[in-house]
Order: sequence, then structure tokens, then C-alpha cells
Amino acid sequence: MFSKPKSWISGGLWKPKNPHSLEHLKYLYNVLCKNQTVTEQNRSLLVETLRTISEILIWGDQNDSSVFDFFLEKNMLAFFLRFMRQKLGRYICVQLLQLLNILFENIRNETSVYYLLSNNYINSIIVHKFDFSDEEVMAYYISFLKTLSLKLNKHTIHFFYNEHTNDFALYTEAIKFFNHPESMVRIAVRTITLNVYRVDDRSMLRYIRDKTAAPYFSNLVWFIGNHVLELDACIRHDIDHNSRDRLADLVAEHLDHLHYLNDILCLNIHALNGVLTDHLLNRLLIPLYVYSLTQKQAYEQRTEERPHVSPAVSLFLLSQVFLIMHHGPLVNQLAEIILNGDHTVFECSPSSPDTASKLPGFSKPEEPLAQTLDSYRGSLKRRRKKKRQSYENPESDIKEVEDDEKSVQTDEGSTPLELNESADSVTPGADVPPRPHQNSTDEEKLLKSSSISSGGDVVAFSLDERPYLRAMFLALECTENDYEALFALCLLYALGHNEGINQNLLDTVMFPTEKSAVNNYNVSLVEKLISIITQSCQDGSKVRLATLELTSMLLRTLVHQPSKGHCWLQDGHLAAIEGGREEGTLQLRSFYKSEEIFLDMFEDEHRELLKRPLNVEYLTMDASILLPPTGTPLTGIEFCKRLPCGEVERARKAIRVFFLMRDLSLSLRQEEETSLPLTKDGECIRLGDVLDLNNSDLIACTVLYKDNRRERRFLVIDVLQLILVEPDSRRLGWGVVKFVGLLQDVEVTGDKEDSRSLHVTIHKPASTVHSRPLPLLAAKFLFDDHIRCMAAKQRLTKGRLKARQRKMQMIARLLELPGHIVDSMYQPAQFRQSSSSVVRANTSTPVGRARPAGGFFPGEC
Amino acid sequence: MITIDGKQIKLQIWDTAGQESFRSITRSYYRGAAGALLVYDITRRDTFNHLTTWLEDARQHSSSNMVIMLIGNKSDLEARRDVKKEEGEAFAREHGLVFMETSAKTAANVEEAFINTAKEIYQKIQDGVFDINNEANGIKIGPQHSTSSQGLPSGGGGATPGGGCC
Repeated sequence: MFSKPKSWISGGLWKPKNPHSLEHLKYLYNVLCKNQTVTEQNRSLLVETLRTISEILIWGDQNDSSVFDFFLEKNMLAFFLRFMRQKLGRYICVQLLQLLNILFENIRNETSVYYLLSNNYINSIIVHKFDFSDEEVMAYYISFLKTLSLKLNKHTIHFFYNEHTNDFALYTEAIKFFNHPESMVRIAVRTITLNVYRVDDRSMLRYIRDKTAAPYFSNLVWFIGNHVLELDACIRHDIDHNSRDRLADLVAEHLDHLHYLNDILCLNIHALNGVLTDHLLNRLLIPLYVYSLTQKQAYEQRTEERPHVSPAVSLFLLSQVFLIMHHGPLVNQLAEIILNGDHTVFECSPSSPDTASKLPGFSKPEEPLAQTLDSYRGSLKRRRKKKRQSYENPESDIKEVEDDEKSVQTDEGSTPLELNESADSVTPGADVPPRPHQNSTDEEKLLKSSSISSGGDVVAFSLDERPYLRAMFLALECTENDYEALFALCLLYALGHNEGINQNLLDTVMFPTEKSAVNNYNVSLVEKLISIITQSCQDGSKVRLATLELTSMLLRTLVHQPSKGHCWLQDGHLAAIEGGREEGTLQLRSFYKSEEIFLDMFEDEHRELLKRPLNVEYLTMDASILLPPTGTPLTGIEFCKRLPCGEVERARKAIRVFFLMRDLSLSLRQEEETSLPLTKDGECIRLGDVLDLNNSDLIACTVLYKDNRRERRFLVIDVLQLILVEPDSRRLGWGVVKFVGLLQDVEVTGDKEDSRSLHVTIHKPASTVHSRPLPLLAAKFLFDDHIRCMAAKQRLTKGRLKARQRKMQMIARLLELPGHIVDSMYQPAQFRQSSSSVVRANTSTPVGRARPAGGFFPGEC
Repeated sequence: MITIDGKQIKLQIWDTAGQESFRSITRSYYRGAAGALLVYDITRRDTFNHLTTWLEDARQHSSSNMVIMLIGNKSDLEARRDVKKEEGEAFAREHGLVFMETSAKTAANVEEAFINTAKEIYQKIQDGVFDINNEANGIKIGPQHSTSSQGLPSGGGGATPGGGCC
């Protein structure tokens, strides 16, 4: 319609030259007035106009307040809203949402924000029925809500939450997308909810709890549970590691959920946490995760039953829960059931049938969240009615499920619920164990646990009536493989390191940790752990390194407290561990010198072990451990999480086992490590040291670096190191160390074109896993003539060889290799022989080093 | 929307600034992204010193293929410079990052920073490093089969670009 609207159809207002000015905004306003209806023809004009308006508004917010006044005066938000509601409004919706987004993101003036939010236009925009099937609209819409949520505080909350009508569009509209297929949308929803919860406004939080918490959380845990079921199915149908990407996604998704829930719990909103804990425990963690722990045999047999996952998956997921969440009421109740509970948690006590509704059950919320929320929006009357329904119906749902469950259980003897014979004997009602209710207090639990432990202080521990704990112990068995054992260890570790769990609770199963006062350990648990250790030290063991390392960590927390400085491991148990260590050493002996690079492997593995001790949290983030243990590196699985492949890797594994066992044994016997690492910092010469080099062999050379730097230096070859010095200006015959590198890592080659030059590279291990290993030095050494050059080359090559031999002998001694224990083979190099003359100036005083007078600096020509 | 190699690429950029207090949120951002811009302030050494932590965080939560750009921002404030360009370069070299200095104020190198990130990602797609059929990588094939979009969270040692950015 208007081909050149900007130039002439502007109602007498010419487009001002300055794009950032009130005049320009007025002009643009006019453009909008002329185009009040969106058409095919003017859509690009409108989009451009809106874009420019947002630019001016931001500029105005910081430079000219009249701009904003004009915007408000003309009620431009209302204008926008009218645009959106038009038939063709969708053409400019994206631009409008973007404009609003930029506006709220950038406006710094508080009052401006208030003005924008008054009049309820923003709320009308929020509830506007956008076309969410359009990906772009969805993205901008949810970003807009997120931006708004970042502006929430005690004051602005009232623009969004209406106490009288119980309306909170920003929140209720956002949570409708909690299960949107696009992950970025889900993240935004989580951000919005967290931003809402953290606003300290009582009536708003009451509304959240009373009107939305139950439906939102029940839908959320149902969503999580279904992801978990999908995860389980993914593993079951993938023996060949084909769907690793999907699996990794599902695991990461689960972690996302847990972190999100934990973030909510960490906000410490009492009322909300109660509802959340209740839903999490009784609708997800207990009925799905804990229930699945004992589902091993029932796995193939039964088809029609309540949903569950494999015990391994359940152990894995529970470890994640305990590693991430520390909310006291939640973790204590959950740990209590795992450690001391039995199947009766799923049973209804006959004495109080009304509790049936509170029994744990993983069941579908009775209506989709969006529907529940929309129904709140109706008239007040309808809302009240609806509310009652939505609270009653799910309960009756559960009742049905539970009733089914009960009848099944009493009818057949081979139901999964009665997997463990011992659990059968428990008559329902006679001794009802504490049921996980959100209102059971810590004090109650304290009483309870103390009564148990006082019952039998010595060895009154039994796995009878502890089906879940027993399942965990069974999982530690790794005669076939260590698949389940690794998860059980993770869970035990997570339980032991969870700050939210009362130590008294752990004491009931004799699981001492740093926090506990008792020195009693659970003998059957320790024996299980020792059996894993023994197995992993054997030839061709099916136990992975991660499993061994974790076992060793766990064992230490159980029997050894460095803070108290003692270890209470029984002699028999210690002997068993020593036996394992010897076995491991024996294994390694067969690999000694089997490879050219044995020394490098040995040192590298030790460095790795020190630098990256097993991080259990990271371990449980790795989906690859959920697939059956494999040996092939082709899967890309990290070495310590799979079995070795080929001779070199078997050597690597033997080295690791040796280190782990040595470390465990030393710390249990409370001895210090004195032999490792092979290179001790104290023995090395450092940069800046000043050395007495009188009577030492020095070769003068010029070092040419890659970046064309050149330096005149003297080359010194020590027992372990290559050293470059420059003369000390204060003392004749002394040199200041300018560079040091290990001789064992030196690579030296001659220069084809120049017989006076050598190419010297000194390798260095990478500082972190992801970084590239850069050589410590890569330079050309230019000597005075080819004879010096040859001499240097010979000495470097020989030095490297000797340094390596020396270390190999040290390893031989560590391995107690017969025939190698002799020290006589250790021939110190010439330089070290005269070590009395090598003095570091920084080590106090170079006393007693009487040198022949008139010592000269040999290299100086 | 940018064009590389004749292919239209839509960049989706997420700013994590200000949301660090929730661990779940930063975690998820990293995960859904194909590339990240790690930004420090060249006038504040502390922001540079924190890079290792940020990097470790990013690597831990993201796929190992994520392209990470190291950005030294506020290059317009040469007089107040506290971190040498060489230091940034050295850090990037050691950790396998691409390095640039930018100024959000003068817009110097800002567009290049994003374009270079996209180019690196595109290269990785060409090399087959990224599985474009897995949306969790942060890459999606567009409707006309010629468009892909990527999420790039940006954020870093407290040096968020000043001025309005769209």
C-alpha cells in the first residue's frame, strides 16, 4: 500500500536526522498511528519501527527522561497489545516480544520499570494466546517471562501477583511449559520459578504453596519418573553401547532435575519445602527408586506390576540424589528407609486405614498441569470446587493402586515384595516402621535411632528386615563383574558424605564417618569391601579401577579417621588387605620392563592419580558406566571406568592397582609415603638457584628459541636435570640457573645442515586433562664448534639413559624385585659425585665449601 | 543470522550473567550449548584469575566438543589494562581456546567473536565431530535443510559487556 512510507506518509512530521531523540520517537509513534492495523504490506515497516523504538527507549532511559515520559503518555504498551490481538498480529509478535525483552533487560531506572508494569498491560501480554507452535515465538515469549522474573523483588511482585484475584500469570503461564520438548524452554521455566520463589513475599508464597505447589510438583515428579523409566529402557535395550548419546542425555536430564529441586530446597522456604519433600519422597523416590532396589529377580518374570527400574539404575540414581541433595528432612527419611526400612512402607496399616492415601506411589497426576492451572483461573466458586477435587482425586487413585498391591502380596508368595524371605515374617500392623511423613521431626528420628543402637551396641547388626540394605550388600558382590558393585559403592559413599544425614542414623547400621563418635564398623560391609579389593588385585580381574579406588576410599572412611589419628581395622582384615597388596605387586612385577615406556607410564599414572583423585560426583554424572562394563577403548570410555584392552593397558592397570593398594596400605598403617613420586622436588635444582660450578663440566652455547629469541648460556648436565646457567656476576665460577628440565624427557637430534647445532626438545606432561601438552623447551642449541656439539649430544643422550636407569632401579626396589634391591648398581653421575661443590645459594650459607683459590670459570673463553 | 560458506546459520545466544546463584541453571546452559564465550575484563586481573574455575566448570558440564572462545573485553580501556594480551594468548594456547580481545563499548571485534565461534562450530560439524542429529549438542538443522542454529552461553569472570546488546 505504502511503498515509501517513511519519506512522505508521516503526517507532516519528517524523519529527524538524529536517530536517538525524542523527535524520532514522536515520528515513529506517528508511523504506528498511521498503521494501526497489521497488514501484509506494512508488516516489515512495523517491525522496523518497533525495533527502532526499543533502541530509542534504551537510549532515553540513560540519557533523556522525556523519551520515556512520551512512551508512557501515549500508552504505547496498550498500542502493542492491540497489535498482538489482531488477526495478523502474529507477523509482528516476535518483534514485539523482542522489544519488551530488550526494554526490561536494559532499563535501569526503577521508576520506569514501575510505570511499565502498572496498568496490567504486561499481565495481559503474558496471558495472550500466542502461537506457541512457532518456535521463535515460543523462544522469545519464554525469554520475555524470564527477563521479567529477573526483575522480581519485594516491590515489583505486586504488579504480577494479585492477592485479591489470586492471579499470578507470570508464574502460572510459565510452569505450563515445564515439560516442553525444547530444553532451553524448560531451563527458562526453572529459572522463572526459582526467581519467583526467592522473592520474600508471604502471601505470594502462600498462594504458590496452596494453589500451585501440589499440582506443579506432582506433575514434575511424574515427568522425572518417566524420564527415569525411559533411561532404564534405554539401558535394557542397549547391550552394544549404541544409544550412548540418548543415554547421556537422559542422565544429564535427571541431574538437571535434581539440581533444580535442590536449588528450590536450598532457598529454604519452609512451606514449599514440605510439599516438595513430600511429593519427591512419596511419589518418586520411595515408590520408584527404593522400590526398585529389590526388583532383581522379578525383572523378567512379571509383566503386570507397578513401574520399576533395574536395581543398578536405582542405585545409580539414588547416589545422585544423595550427592546433590542435602535437605535434612528429605535425605534423612530416604536414608532411614534404605538403611532400616522394609517393604511395609508400601503397606497400609489396618489400624488406621486413612493413612492409605499417604502411602507412597508413583502414579500419574490426575490431570495435566495446564488444565489444573487454567481451572484456577475461573470464577471464585468454580475455583474452590475444583481445588477440592484436585486434592481428593489423586489420593483415591493411590488408594486403588495400593489396594491392588496389597491383594497381590497376600495372594502369592513369589511377588517381588517378598523377595527376601526374612521380610515375610513381618506382620503388617504389629510393628509398623516409621513411615516417611513430612511431619516426622528430627527429634523423633533421634529417639528412634538411639533406641535401636542401644538395643545392641556390639554386633547386633543383621540384614534381616532390611531388604533394601541387603540388596545393596548383594550388589557389592562382584564375582561376575563389578557392574552393580560400582553403583552400590557410589550410594554408600554418597550416604556417608551427605551433610544432611544424621550420624545417628548411619550409626544404626554401623557406618561410621568423620562425624561419628563410635569406632565400630560394620563387619559384613567391610568384608564385602575387602573381597572387592582382593578380587581386583588378581590377574585378569573383572574389577575396574574406579571400583577399586572407590572401595579404598570407602574403606578408609569406615575404619580410619585421620583427625583422630587412629585406625581400628581388625588385624585379620588388615592382613587381608596386605595380602591384596602383595598380589598386586606380584602382578606388576611381570610387567616391569615389559615396555620401552614403562617408566613414563609409571610416572604418568602416579601423576594422574595424585592430580585427579576419583570424584564420585563426576563419576555419577557419567552415563557410560550404566552400560555393561566393556574393555574396548573404541567406546571412548575413560580408562579407569572400563577394563584394560591389550598388553599395554594391562600394564597400566597393574601400575594403578599397585599405587592404589600401596596408598591404602600405607594410610591404614599410618605410614608416610616416602618413595613416591620418583622425582622429588627437594632433590631437584630450581630456577634461580645459584650453583657453584667450579670443576664442573660446562659447555657454552647459544640457545635459539622458536620466537627468534637468542640467549648465551652454559649447559650443565646433572644426574637428573639439564640445566642452563648464566654466570653469576658476583661470584666467580658460580652460575645462576635460568632453565631446568628433566634429562629423562630430553629428545635431542642433530642438525643436518649445521654440525654445530642440536635440536633439543624437553617434553612435559599436560597441566590439565583438556590442555595441550606443550614442550617445556623446544630450541636449537648452537655450539662453538662441532666437537663441543658432539660432546653435548653424547652427554645428553647418556644422561637421559642414566636418569632413566636410575629411576627404573627405584621402581625395582619398590616392587622388591629380587636381584634389583642392591644399591651398588646406583652409580651417581659425575656431577652429583662432586655434589659437595654444588651448593644452592638460597639454602642458607654455602659453608664449609672451601674451594681451591683462583677457581676459574671453565666455559669462559 | 550469519552466513558461513554460503550456509545460513542462526545463532541463539544465551547470557548466563546474573543467574549464577542457581547451580541448576548454569549447569543446564552449558549442556545445551555448542559453543561458549568466556569473557574476562582486561582491566581487572581477578576476572582473569577466575578463568580456570570457569573453564573447569564449562568443561565439566558440557560436551567435550564445545567450542570455547576466550574473550578479553574492554580493549578500549588500554590505559587501565591489567592483563597483557600475551597472557590471554598464552592461556588460550595452553587450554586449546580461541582468543580475541574485544570492546563491547566500541563494538570492536564483537561481531567477529560470535562469527569466529560459529565458524569453529561449523568446522567441527564439517569434521563430523558434532552429531547434528542430536539436539542436545545445541545444534539443529533448520527447516530448509540449510540452516542450523546454535546456543552460545556467554558469561564469565564478572565482565559482562557494557551497553545494550541485542
